[in-house]
Amino acid sequence: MHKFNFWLIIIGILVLIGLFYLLNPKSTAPAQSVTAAKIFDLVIKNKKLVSGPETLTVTEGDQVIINITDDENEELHLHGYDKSVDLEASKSAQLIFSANLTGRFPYELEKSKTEIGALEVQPK
Amino acid sequence: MKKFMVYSLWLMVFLLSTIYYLPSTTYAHAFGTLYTLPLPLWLYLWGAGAALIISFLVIGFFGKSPTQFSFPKFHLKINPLVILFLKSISLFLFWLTILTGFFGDPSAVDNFAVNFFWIIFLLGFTYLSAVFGNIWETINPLKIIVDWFGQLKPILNYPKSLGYIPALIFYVLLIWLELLSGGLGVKPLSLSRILLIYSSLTFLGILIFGRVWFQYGEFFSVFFGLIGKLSPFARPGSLLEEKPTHFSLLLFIIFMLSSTAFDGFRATSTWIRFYYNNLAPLENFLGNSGSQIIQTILLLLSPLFFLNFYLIAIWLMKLFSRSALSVRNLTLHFAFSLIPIALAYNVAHYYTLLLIQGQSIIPSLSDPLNLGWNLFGTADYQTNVGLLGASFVWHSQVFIIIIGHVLAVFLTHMMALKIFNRKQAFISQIPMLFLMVLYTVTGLWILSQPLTIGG
Repeated sequence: MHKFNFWLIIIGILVLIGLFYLLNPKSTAPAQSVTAAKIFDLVIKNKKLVSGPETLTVTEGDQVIINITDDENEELHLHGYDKSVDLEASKSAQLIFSANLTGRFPYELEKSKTEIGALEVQPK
Repeated sequence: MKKFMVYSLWLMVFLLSTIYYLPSTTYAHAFGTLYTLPLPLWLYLWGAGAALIISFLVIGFFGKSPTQFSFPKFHLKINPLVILFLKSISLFLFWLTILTGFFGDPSAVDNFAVNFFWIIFLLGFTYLSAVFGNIWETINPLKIIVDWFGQLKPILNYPKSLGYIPALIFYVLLIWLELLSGGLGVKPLSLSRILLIYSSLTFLGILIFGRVWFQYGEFFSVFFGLIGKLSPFARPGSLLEEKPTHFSLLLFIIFMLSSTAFDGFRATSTWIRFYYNNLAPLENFLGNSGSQIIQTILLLLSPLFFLNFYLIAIWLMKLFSRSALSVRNLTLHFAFSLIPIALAYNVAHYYTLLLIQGQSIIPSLSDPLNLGWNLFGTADYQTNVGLLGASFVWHSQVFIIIIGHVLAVFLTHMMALKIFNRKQAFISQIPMLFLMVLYTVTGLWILSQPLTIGG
């Protein structure tokens, strides 16, 4: 291989690795070790979310507490985690779990197959 | 005897086409949910920068050593018995898919046919073809069936001016079924019917035009044929020596890119915002299926975005290199260089679906016909959603897109050296390089956009 090519490739790779570490926020900021409980209050009316965030963002390992009130008898189902909770009309129901799977998991009203929002679990 | 065979093939076409009118009861269920998080901004930026830097490295590499490179090629010699075995498996899976669509579990998520066709076959077999080459050519079940009928005399000569348009139409219909048919494509019963209709249309094509239909009209043959060109086991020269003979094959390749991009983009909140601000008002004029109609039009228009920039790059290439070749000629000459980017888009976007949703095939294999069987003891298998962590998925997606990008830049350069002298080739690659960077950054950008419900 030509000497010029060799150095070109080496420098290119070094620049790429350098940029990777420079841009990655995790390599500059210390990881947070405190895991807090994340509480979300959701109100659903007429199969639509009227109060509370559509996207529930948490970090891997967080304790997640979701309080849900619906104006109908329904069942809330969280995909991926495969957790369900029965909803009684106008009564608050609660879903508690720890977020140990990373990714984006939609939740829906199971009976009417209506997607309401999604839980996003960011890696630590 | 021969006439009898031909009549029986016609009869088969007729019988298959009546199946659609059988009564049906089905319901759709969430199928094909992606559990992936959008790429973090920093990784998107790094990926974009890396694509640019690596492109210049490749160009610089060629600038100094203009030697001819060829991809490592391996020759795969397969025992005829193995081929017979693979053919039998293929035919068996074809009928199993049709049968399980009709009689299997009515829920899409748990049905063998739906999981097998959309996930294992359409994604898995695509990736398999990229590794092992165009296996479909040998094990295509429709081809095996047609082979039983021996030599068939075509009624008409295939009009060569049509090119790959029939296959392209089937491609658009397939993507429409997947994304915009409101669940028609994932209802087991309708899926089986659609597969039978498609089979009968293929037989019809063969009865009229002869086996040339596999080359121009049978979608899967064209699709896996293109993907298989990337394989180290592919016929030598199938990527660099051959080029499309018809513009429609370029459109086909561009549609590979644009349909994946369309699917990805549709799930982002950026898109939803754009849709509600600009297009939703149109729904009022179009009635109940307004959203479906608008999105169908957008799917049909999606290749124009990618094609437009490709044509600009080719035009600039002609301008810079002062080549005597026509734009049309150059357009076709470089068409296959887009295949790696199209495949990378596909893999980065869908491979998690294959590995996560694809697991649903395990329980359905044990009880394909919903009779309470447990053939392999896996009927109660639960999908392991935690197989791939978000961090791994992010890095692998960026890696895959960049690999596709590097391959494409490398290929265009090899192709340029075939028609230009060294200096021309070097200069001609600058517009192509920016085109590839644009495609790659578009792919990464879509993956980095925040997602919304329904995605």
